[in-house]
Amino acid sequence: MEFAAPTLLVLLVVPGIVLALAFAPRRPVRALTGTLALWRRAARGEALSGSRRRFGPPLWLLVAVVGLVAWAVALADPRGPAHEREEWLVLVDRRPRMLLAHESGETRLFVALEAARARLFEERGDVRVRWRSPGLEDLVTRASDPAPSARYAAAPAAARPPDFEAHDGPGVLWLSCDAPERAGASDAESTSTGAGFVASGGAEVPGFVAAGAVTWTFWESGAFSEREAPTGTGTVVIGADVPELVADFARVFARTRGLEPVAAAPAGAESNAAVRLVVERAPGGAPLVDGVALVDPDGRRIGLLDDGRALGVDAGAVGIVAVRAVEPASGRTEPVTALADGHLRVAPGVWRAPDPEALALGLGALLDRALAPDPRLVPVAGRRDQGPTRAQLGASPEPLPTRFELRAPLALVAAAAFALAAVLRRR
Amino acid sequence: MRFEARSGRATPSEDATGVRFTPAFRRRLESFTTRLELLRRRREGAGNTTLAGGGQEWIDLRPYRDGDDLRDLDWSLLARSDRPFVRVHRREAAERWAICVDTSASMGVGMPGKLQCAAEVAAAWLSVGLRSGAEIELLWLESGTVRARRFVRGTELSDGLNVLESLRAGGERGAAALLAEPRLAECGRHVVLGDLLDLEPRQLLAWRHRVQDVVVGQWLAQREWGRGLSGARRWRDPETGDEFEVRTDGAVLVRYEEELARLLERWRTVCGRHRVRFGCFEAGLPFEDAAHELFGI
Repeated sequence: MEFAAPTLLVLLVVPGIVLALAFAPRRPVRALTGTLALWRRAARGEALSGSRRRFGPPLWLLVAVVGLVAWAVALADPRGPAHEREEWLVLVDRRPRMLLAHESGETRLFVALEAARARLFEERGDVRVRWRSPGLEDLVTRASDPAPSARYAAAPAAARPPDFEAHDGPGVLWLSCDAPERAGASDAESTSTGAGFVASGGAEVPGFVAAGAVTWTFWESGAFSEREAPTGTGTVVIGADVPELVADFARVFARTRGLEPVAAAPAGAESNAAVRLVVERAPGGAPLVDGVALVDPDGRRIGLLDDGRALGVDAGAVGIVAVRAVEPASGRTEPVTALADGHLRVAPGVWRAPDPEALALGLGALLDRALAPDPRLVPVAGRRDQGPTRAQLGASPEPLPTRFELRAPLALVAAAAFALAAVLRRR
Repeated sequence: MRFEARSGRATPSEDATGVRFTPAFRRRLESFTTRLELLRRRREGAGNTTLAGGGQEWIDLRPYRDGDDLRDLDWSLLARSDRPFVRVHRREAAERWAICVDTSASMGVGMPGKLQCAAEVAAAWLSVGLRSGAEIELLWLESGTVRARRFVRGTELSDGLNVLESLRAGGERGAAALLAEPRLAECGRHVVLGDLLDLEPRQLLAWRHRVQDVVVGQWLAQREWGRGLSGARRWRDPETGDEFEVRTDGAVLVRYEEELARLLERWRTVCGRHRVRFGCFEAGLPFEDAAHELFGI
């Protein structure tokens, strides 16, 4: 809850003091009277004695305190903040092309993020913004907050763009370096029918556009040339707790892919990590990656864990996505690997491989998918001149359920409480 | 009297049990008496007085005492009963007054105390009576025993004031004990001053038919009117020592005020029906105000 005048909440001190005084332990005032009999008749059953002699504050005072609280809160004017009236979804392209330098001195990604935030704030106010990018958790900020540039700059580049077409509607912004083609353009890479967009733009950036075994293809001003492949293309970071069998295979995999296996994450290793192997147990046994268990129907085991569970391979629509352990008795399965951009998560424990070739096939496929793209390799389309920075908000999202305006009801509650307290006081 | 929880000892800050007549009060008393005497003389000229009996109409009989005028002897009654009785004339009866001051412990409640207020008005009756030549019996209670002092023409008022200043509120017995005193039958005017909380109005009427004039003055302390009260109180009856704890606000206070109003209305009704002059006052009211009402001026 937000308040238009939060400083007036200090008035809540008043009912607080009243309550504190009312509940402060007090002994009844002692006094003489010649009309004790009248008091007895007047009190009827209300006189207290023995352990019930403690007097609490009278009801009218409690009701008045409720009124004071309502009055103080009403003065502070509680209301639903503007930023919660709607939420915008920004799909962030983090492919290597977004990491190219912009003529402003920043990266294209930084320029696009800031342009999106500024445009939303200018046109829609302090709305809620949900930033989404492949391989990363969603971030929710307000338009008045800084854009999450630092968070995205620290993450490795994504191999693929966001699924723009799946989110083509009101309240969505596509964030990339170039503007999407509108519907009807036949050669469009992405077409939008309802979503807005933010394009960082940017001048042409020459560089490598393709990688060969020995030489890489360089592009500049429309001309291609072959150059010697750069060294130090990346590392495979192997976490300390990664099972030995998996770690051994990862080292072999790194050498075959021209990568350098590193035992942990020394300084600098993270920045150019092509893939990281980390140990992580799925919380509560939930699958880390959805997929279909492909335990071979004839009972062939491709791997074993020290607890006797067999290892199978999960595959999704795009291929193998996880290795899964199977309880021989119950058949219950639990994923022991999970894949995300730049990360391969594996289950802890001692892995054994009765069928090493099958296990190597599964892990190799996973590691290939986990490899982050080399940020130095950007296709020609991404290196071309993208034009100026542009932004266009599409249709606004459906408004979120707005908060009930509380000022008027609170004022009514306060007035009713004061009136009731006055009536109770007179009775 | 504010009494402590353990000792029950009173402090003089909230209750006053004694009587004190300041020089200022004595001057006001003198002024009041003078004004009243002038008023009485004017009214007597018109044949209407409330301070003395009138004519030779006899209204009662009493046993013969040495020195009584033989012309007043009821010879026929003497012949029938063989006992001497003299006729009591209206004027004679009216000139014998009884001033009864309730000095029960409850009269010490409040500041100023109810006893102080009653004593001030008693002083006014004493002063007026002595100037008009009445014979006055002043009755009060001391340690539960009825005490009396007779004042006749020529007695210095200061003697009466000294007696009144010696009064102290205490004991359980109050106005009811004073009204049971037989010597009241010899007086034509009864002035009863107190809080009357131990008295029922009908008790006042037991001897009303034999008395020419009855005046009743009642005082209640501010807290007994229910004013200025809030929160919890532990009341203590100074006469019985009973205690009672109650919240003195809200519905209880309203019901208390209703009970008190009913009690006072009963007094007013009964007194009005029997031509008894009655006034109820809050302690602290200037004595002139109460006296004006009780003197009927």
